[in-house]
Amino acid sequence: MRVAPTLQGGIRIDADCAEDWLMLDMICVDAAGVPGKPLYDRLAEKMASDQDWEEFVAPDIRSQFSDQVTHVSRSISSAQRDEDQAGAVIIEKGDCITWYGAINQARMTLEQVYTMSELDRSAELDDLDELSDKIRLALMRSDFYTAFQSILLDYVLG
Amino acid sequence: MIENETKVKVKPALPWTVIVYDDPVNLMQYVTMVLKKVFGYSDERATALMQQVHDNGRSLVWSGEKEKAEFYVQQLHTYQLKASLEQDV
Repeated sequence: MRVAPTLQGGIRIDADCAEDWLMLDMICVDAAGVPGKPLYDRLAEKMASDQDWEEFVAPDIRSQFSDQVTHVSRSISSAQRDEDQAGAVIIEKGDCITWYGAINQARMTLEQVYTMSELDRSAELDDLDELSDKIRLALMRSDFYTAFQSILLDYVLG
Repeated sequence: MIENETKVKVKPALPWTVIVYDDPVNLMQYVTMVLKKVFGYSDERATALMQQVHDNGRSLVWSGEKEKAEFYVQQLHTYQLKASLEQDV
């Protein structure tokens, strides 16, 4: 898979095989699968005692988070692919922040489930075979999501 | 003729502060970008505040009227940053 900036100021993802599409699909699977408290409740936990906030502000933001995932899911599922599963997803400049948000939600889920920030990355990566499949795959996805976000920041958002 | 005078002391309302908290997910570059977008800070100021969040676990990023503070917290939440408002004491 290649992720690169376009001349129009957006981002183009070239997927070469079914595994690449699976990796892209996992953004939405991870983003939608936050265990425990929903993402917004964790971000706003210090505002929890404010009833007006919960009533007037929180619903809009929850809806925005959900819309980000829906947008990314639709973009991926509607992308053209050939018989070898090669294809591209074009992200317009104005949609890059939506993609960033959905990927951020996916990373937050991985952090919640696997506490990725506390893993000894160098040791873990040296012993990939020793890790359970779930953690190994989560590490790979986390690295992919972070690299994707860095490209979005470096070339479009930053 | 002198009428009775009542003196009323008006205390200015205490300012509200917007706090951003550190988290293990948001990238430093992203936090800087959000502070620039939401508050219109210079790159230098936004970077310094981001560094405070990273080093101290939280940073006071803005202070002023309650309504504006609420608006800023809402914006920060929209960008998925952990934030809250507190009234100065």
